[in-house]
Amino acid sequence: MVLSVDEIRQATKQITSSGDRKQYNKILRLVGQYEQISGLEETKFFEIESNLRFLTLSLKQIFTKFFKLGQLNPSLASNDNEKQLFLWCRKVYGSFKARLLEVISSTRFENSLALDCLDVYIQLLELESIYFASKPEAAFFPNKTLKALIAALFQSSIPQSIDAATGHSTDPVLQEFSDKYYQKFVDLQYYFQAELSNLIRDGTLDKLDHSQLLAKWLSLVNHDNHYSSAEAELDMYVPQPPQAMESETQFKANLEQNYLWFLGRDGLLNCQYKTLLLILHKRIIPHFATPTKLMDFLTDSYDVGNGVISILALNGLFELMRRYNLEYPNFYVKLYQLVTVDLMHVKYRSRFIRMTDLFLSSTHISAGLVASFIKRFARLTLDSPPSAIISVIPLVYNLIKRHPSCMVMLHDPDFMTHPFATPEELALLKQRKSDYKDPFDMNEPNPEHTRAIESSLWELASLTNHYHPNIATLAKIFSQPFKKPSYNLEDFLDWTYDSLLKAETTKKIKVLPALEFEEMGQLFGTYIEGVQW
Amino acid sequence: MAGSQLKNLRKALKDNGLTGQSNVKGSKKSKKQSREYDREERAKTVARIREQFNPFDVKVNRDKRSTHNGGEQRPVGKPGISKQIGEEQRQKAHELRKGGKNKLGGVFDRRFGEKDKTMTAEEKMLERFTRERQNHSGAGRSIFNLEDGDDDGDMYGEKLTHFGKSLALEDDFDRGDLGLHDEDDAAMLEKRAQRTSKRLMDEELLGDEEPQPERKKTKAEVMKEVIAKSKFYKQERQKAQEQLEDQIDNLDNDFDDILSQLHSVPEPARSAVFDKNHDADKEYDMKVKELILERRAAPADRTKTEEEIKSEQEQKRLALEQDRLNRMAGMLEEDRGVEDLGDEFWRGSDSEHDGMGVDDEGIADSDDDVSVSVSDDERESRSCKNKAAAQFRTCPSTHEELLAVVNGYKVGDHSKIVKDIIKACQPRLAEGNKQRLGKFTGVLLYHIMFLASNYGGNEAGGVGESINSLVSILRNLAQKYNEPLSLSCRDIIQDIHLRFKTQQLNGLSRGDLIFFATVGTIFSASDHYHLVITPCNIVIGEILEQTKPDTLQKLLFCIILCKIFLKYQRLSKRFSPELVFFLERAIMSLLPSSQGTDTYASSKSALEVGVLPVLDPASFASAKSHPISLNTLSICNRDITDDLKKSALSAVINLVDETISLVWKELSAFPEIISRFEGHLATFRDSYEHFNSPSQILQKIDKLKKNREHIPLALQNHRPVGIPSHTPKFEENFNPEKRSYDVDSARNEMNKMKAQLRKERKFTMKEIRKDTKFEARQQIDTKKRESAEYHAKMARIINTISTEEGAEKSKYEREKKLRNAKK
Repeated sequence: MVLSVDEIRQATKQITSSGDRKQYNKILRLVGQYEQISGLEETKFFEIESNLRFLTLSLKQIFTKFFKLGQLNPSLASNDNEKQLFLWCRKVYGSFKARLLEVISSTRFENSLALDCLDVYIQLLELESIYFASKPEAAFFPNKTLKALIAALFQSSIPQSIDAATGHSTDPVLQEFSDKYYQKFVDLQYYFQAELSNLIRDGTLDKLDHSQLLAKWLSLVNHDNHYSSAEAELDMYVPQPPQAMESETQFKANLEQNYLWFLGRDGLLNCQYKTLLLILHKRIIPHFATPTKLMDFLTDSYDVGNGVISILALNGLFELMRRYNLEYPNFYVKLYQLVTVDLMHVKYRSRFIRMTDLFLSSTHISAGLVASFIKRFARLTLDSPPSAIISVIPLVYNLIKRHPSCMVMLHDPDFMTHPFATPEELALLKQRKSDYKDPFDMNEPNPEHTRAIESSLWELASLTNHYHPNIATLAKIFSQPFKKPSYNLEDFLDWTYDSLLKAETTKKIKVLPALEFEEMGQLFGTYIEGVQW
Repeated sequence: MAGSQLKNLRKALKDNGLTGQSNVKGSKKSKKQSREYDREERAKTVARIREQFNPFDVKVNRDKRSTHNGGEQRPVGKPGISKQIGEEQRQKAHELRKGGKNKLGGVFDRRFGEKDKTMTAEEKMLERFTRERQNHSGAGRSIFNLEDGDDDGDMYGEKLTHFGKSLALEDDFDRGDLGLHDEDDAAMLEKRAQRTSKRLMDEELLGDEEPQPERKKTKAEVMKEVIAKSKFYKQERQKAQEQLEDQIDNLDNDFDDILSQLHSVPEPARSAVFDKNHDADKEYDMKVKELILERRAAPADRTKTEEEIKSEQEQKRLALEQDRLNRMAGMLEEDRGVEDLGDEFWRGSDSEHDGMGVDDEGIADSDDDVSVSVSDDERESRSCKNKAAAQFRTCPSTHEELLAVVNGYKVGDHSKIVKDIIKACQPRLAEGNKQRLGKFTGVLLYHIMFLASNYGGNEAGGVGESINSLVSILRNLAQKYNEPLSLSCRDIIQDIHLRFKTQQLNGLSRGDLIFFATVGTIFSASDHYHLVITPCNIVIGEILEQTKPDTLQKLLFCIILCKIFLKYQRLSKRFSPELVFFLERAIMSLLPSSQGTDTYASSKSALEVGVLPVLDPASFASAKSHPISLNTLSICNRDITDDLKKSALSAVINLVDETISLVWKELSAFPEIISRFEGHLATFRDSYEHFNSPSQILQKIDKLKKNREHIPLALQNHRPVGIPSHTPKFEENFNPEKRSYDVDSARNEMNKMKAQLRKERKFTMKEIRKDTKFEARQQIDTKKRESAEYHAKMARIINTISTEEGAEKSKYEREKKLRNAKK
């Protein structure tokens, strides 16, 4: 049976005010109260929650008093008897901490008790740093205590606590810890990362659910207020932190190590991949000493397969190649393989094309490779919606402009006659025409080997016959002189059926639409054949 | 010259004998004489010496080029002198101008009272008025009186002239038949006179009589003569008039006598005459009235022969076809008025009675009505519904209103009701009917869609008939109410798009299919850009692209949509990638088993292969395939039979065939497009041995492939453009003196001219500026002089006054003193 608030208050008063050490035994009973909640159901739990919250605060008061009296530090004892008492108090204090962590780690649903426990525990950290120092005013940080808390935080698992959109954890205790403590205090960050790397080395976290782990990790580190960030505004939590935590390189090394460990887990969720890839440039790479270590993670995410993630992974790889000299030979092969039949019909198409434009902006890639991309995009336009075609045409134009040797795909002078051709030349041309066979291989995975440059862009030429007048006109740029330096791709990327239709239906009627002058007869039968009412 | 400037001057003066000892002994007398005599000479010499010693009066042009020929004469200018000369010339001209001021030239304003400051505005007006009156109507003149035109002038007493010649048409009867009447023509007159006199002389020579040389009359003489003549005539006329008046007076005086005589005579016979002819007269009068009122006869149009009518129609058709082709090519004739367009279609519809089974109502020629002719059998039914027709007086403006009207009638009667409504709401019958009918076109379109989606089952055929006739009515209305119809079409398109976006294919119904088909029959679908068809195409594309053909209903819906789309493209043959996409997916969903035919297809993870396979290969034994019925779009899944699937399959295959022959075979990417179908078609061929179409299509593809050459493009075959070169041209025989090396002499000449013009212009501007400056200076001088004169005058006056005053004062003083002394 749970003690009532009054009983708790009375016991606390007796312990703190009287100074009678006989009353100390009541602490054991108070601490023992926590056992009552283990395995309790949600409704029953909330019945006793307020009592327990009060109990937690009371116990904190008691132990604060102990701290002040120095009764928790056996080395301060003046005689054996006292030492015995102090050791006992220390043991009780230890079990109190263990109870708090148990509440935190075993919680299955959102509750205020766990939050209270977290607050109290962290306040205890501060008290420990003051009173457990080897001598007064000495620098000390209770890293063992923190380590236990970290383990508890990661062990807690509230079901469905992963945000579906961003992959963050919605565990309130963890969020509280992150918002209120981790993101504000530099010493907590330093020792957190240090102890976390210890925990990882110990293998404590190995058995936990990977996606949950990463969700929590993301909630902790996905912000801009890191120890190592340039404009972070951070405070000290403990009054006298040790000298050791001034080493930023150590922090970075720990953070990097931890990051890599978390990223290396398999079974991550797609949304988590996406979030990670999106924050890669701003929030991950700056904290890494050697960003190229992210290569494995990026390759993994590329292999996950989902289109957006793959292209984002390639984007990350591209960044690494560009800025950190990463050697990644298969990059364009991988990019080429992402240009699939589905690409033109999915939502992330415009993002893909934007990035492809960026990747292919290098002038050091071979014309054959560019030709493969051009040809493949052109082939895909044969069954893609107008919006996709609108974005592909300027892309191809810009590519050809940048790599003029690809112009042969639009204009092959070998297959032209000129008025002064001799009969031999004409015969040769005829022979060449009859021998010609399109060498392009759509199924070849390597863009260097598709022989696209020997092919021609019939697909784009056919688009001049597109049913949408604007696309038909746009496709005509390939038969006009290439005078424009480049098209601004952004103007062409974000068209949809919606915006196309809106552009049409909001047009003013200047000239009345022309009418059909031929009689069509009956709707079904004469006009539309093969259909009846 | 050595020495200082002063020394040199002295020396020069001495050399010229201007200074030094003047009274040399022995030559006193002669010297004096010569001095008197040589004053001018002396002045000249002095001037020369002065000029020599003033280095600033002479300006020697600096030789920039050569130093070797320093001894040569260099051009010397005397700016001071030339300035002086210019000044003097100006002075002269100025004085000349000043002298002639207010004495020569200028325009004189002779209008009455313009500058007369003594008259008030009112007086001026009055004066002008009286003058005008006098001119126009004074002395009872008529403007039509030709005789009287001698002294007429305009209201200000002056005639309009040009180069001194009168602009008025003057009659010149008095002056010979040639009408020569001015001094300017005097020479001619003289010549003529000479000629006649010569002739006369020749004649007279025989008669031995000395001819008088004809003296030319002066203008004054001529005028006098004319005036005299006209006065004479006037007098004559007045006399005649007086005579006439006298006669009339006499008659008047005698009139009473005649009347009394007349009254005394009895006249019974006359009234009888009137009575007898009364009826005939009446008839006659009526006839006359009738004839007056009768329309004047106009020549009738010649009756045209059959061939002529035919050729005319052919021409009209050709013109329309040409217009259509232009629109298809995207050549928009913006300037062509809407009215013209309407007219063309008017005639177009008139000329096409080709009896296609639809009762083809001709559109009335009149601009104001749309008549819906009523065939004989309808007339009977209409007569019984006359009462009902009365209720159609109000034109339904929303679809609900129309539904309320047609409520209770059979579907087959709807077209008749609609016709009645249109008849009752002819624009000529009431104001605002035009707008109402315009709105009604949209309502009618909605009604067609409503009928199509809400009726079905066994009465489908009747609904079809009804819809067909409604569509033909709509077609006729469209020609008159094009704009409101297009607007409502756009609304419907947006509505369809929204429904598809929110509920996918479930949001669409048969009505939407009917809408697309109807639009295709009404509007010209082949245009490059069309306000209604283009959005339709976009929406169709969207539906085809975003619908997964995984159920038979969806499949059939999209098949019909494809058919409509192909109909749109029957002339323009445009390419739709969405159609390719849909057809491929449709075929894949109908594949007999889920076997990926090639690696390309297997990469399409989003496509589900073989969800709707036709199970029984034997069902193709009966070769006939059924047309798709609209009813099947809404059947439930358990009613799906293999027959239906079979007809869907054959429809899809036929669509591929149709698209190949209509669109794809024209495209340069034909092999690329067709490559994705070949594999599937082969699968069908292998799976269903009785199913002929796939193998036929494959054969066709092979043939097409063989006949066309698939060679690399040569799109950039533009005329090469020269690279502009900017290296300087080397000129042989370069000569700095030569201004231009232009080969074209005409251009050279022109440039020369231009340069000259520029130079002259610059010079003239300079001169003008100098002139104005001079004028200004002169003005200031005159002003100064005037004011000096004035001040001098005033000073003099004051002086005299003060002297007089002083004299008077001293006089007074003296007097006073004297008087005082007297006392």
